[in-house]
Amino acid sequence: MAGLRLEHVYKIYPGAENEPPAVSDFNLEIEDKEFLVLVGPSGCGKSTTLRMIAGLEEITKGNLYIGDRLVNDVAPKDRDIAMVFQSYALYPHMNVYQNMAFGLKLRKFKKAEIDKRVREAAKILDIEHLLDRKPKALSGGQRQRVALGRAIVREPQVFLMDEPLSNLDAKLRVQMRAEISKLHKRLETTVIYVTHDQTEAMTMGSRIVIMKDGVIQQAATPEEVYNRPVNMFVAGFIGSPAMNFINGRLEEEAGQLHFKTDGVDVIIPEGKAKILRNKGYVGKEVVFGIRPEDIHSEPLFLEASPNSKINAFVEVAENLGHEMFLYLNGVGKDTVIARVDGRSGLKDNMNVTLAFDMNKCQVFDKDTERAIFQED
Amino acid sequence: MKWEPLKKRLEQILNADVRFETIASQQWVNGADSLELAGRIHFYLRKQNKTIETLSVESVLTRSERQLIELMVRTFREQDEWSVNGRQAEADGLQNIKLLRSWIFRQLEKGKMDEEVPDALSSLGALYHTRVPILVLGESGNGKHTLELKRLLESFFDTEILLVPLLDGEWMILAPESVISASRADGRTGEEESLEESLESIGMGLHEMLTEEWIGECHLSIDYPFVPAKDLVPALLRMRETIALGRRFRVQLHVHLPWQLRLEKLLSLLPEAETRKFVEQILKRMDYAMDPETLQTLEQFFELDCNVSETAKKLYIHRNTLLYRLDKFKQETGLDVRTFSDAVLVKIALVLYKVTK
Repeated sequence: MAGLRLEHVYKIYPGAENEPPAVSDFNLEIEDKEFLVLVGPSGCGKSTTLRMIAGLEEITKGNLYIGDRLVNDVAPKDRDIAMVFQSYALYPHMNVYQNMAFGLKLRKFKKAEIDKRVREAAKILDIEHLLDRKPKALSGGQRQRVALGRAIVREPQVFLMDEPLSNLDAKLRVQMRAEISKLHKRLETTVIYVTHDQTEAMTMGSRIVIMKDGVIQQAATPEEVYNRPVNMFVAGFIGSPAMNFINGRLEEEAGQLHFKTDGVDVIIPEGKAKILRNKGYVGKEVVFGIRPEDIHSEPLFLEASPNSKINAFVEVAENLGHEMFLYLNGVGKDTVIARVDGRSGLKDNMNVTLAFDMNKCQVFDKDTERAIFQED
Repeated sequence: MKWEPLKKRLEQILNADVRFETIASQQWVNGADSLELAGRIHFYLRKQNKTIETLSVESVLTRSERQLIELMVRTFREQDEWSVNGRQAEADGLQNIKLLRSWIFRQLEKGKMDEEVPDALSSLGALYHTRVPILVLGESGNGKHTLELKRLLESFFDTEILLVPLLDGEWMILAPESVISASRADGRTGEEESLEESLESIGMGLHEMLTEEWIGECHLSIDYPFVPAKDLVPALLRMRETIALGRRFRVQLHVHLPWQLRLEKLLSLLPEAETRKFVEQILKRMDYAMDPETLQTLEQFFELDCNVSETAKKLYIHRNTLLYRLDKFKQETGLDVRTFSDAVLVKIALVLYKVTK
């Protein structure tokens, strides 16, 4: 097993020299045995980055090391990596056993060793009973397992996975998500996983790299990314429903810092207020960020939070049973979403009083969109 | 086969003087593995004109030692002959492939598409049986790797194939028809796979294998089975055209199939100015119509035969969200893709947009 190092890696496609690079200054060290997830919207450069690691795309500028070996010019088959891609295809004329054994056979492994590895992988993936079947006789989930098995038997230094679950139905996705995580723990190998699905990123990655327009926005643990996003893009991308952004102004009143806008007048806690004052944001327009679950309706919370109460009108209440999404008007200019208890009794067309958990709020610079509390 | 290491090893084992010698062939007894002559035992290596090359040892060997050395030399000799013959066969095969390649290029230059492969190439028997044609376009050069690629492909298909290197990084594979039945046969599934489905799965599997085990990224086209002797050049041109169309219209795909590119083939014949005008007329608000979310939604919707439920499921969104997106598209462009006529227009506009972009 091995770690990876990407040093100032760029991807510029021929003929697109005057456009922004597909991947720009990607600089990251990936630890041995790490489960790293590259996540971002379509076209953000995550798959291109993975394909450069795989050797399927040329690196325009920068260096890529697998372990201590510079591999920029090494062919994919010689990089000691295994890939499972969204469009994975099994070899249709071979049975499951042969599909998994083929790569080893090419590398001239002894028959006994091939047999041992194939059967071990089949056991891990629970496909021992399918070894003599042809791909056509397998379900989508079973095929996915075989594709994984083909990668596992190679015992590569690094696994590369590009949206490997996107062809599966929702239920199977959840199941395979957990299985891949278990597999990573069991195999103790480095995994680089690309997805556009933030739930996959949050649940699987030991570290997440969020990308936009070919640039890394933040690389951190799921907790860090969720609780301390470095900018509005990360804050809005991670979390569902997304963080609410409310435009307003910071004003000093009677020694306390207020965030004010239409229908909102809340007091910023002193620790956070100090940072905002020191950075000169008093009297300035900012973007206030609050996650839906940090807007509360419980009477006890309201009682304990007199400085962060808001009054709002419930346009739509979506009750999912265990939780309820409230689509609120009257809190700034745009609709704000709150996630409250499913038994709160709140309904459509009600006027409600709620309160922000101000310890969890974020404040962003309106121009740079950077999170002010996270800046050095 | 080099005999020198064997000579040295024998010297060490026997602790005796071992020499390479030449004796006149009339002195040799036909078919004998060894011969005692002038106080030395000669072991037959090979015949060279009118002489026999031998490995000789002093006549102090026991009967068993002599028989063992005979056995060993014979085994080495047979391996050597097999190896030389094998290489010769491979070289002959390559020579024929080179002739076939030259013939294809000549036909292309002359613009002759309907000529049969000449009898001079009849030793390539594969040309006279039904074959599955596959064209591979890689990014690296091909010359020095053709033999390696041939072995890889034969290992993959577990049968002999014909591999013709064409332009730099371009190969034509002629695989036996049996690869289709091999990919179908299992007996566990009730549904019969169509020929197109079988060919597609062979193409996808082969692309995956070549990407991982050979050249990295490559483009591939696969066509209907045919008899190469009669239709080789037209088939090659069809596959080249298919790859060109696929690379132009479906940039994200690497396996290009002619039956999936029929509309694209037709549209590629339109003049560019007309194409641009059509796209602008249909997708009035291009900035909206071509935002990634709308694009993905429409492509998925068309791929799933305009089925709202299936599309929503595939996109992991609520059915109402999909309907909202389609309504918004209607508001912005005036086109309701849930009606057949508007769906056709938008589908064509989407295909053309990628070319005009």
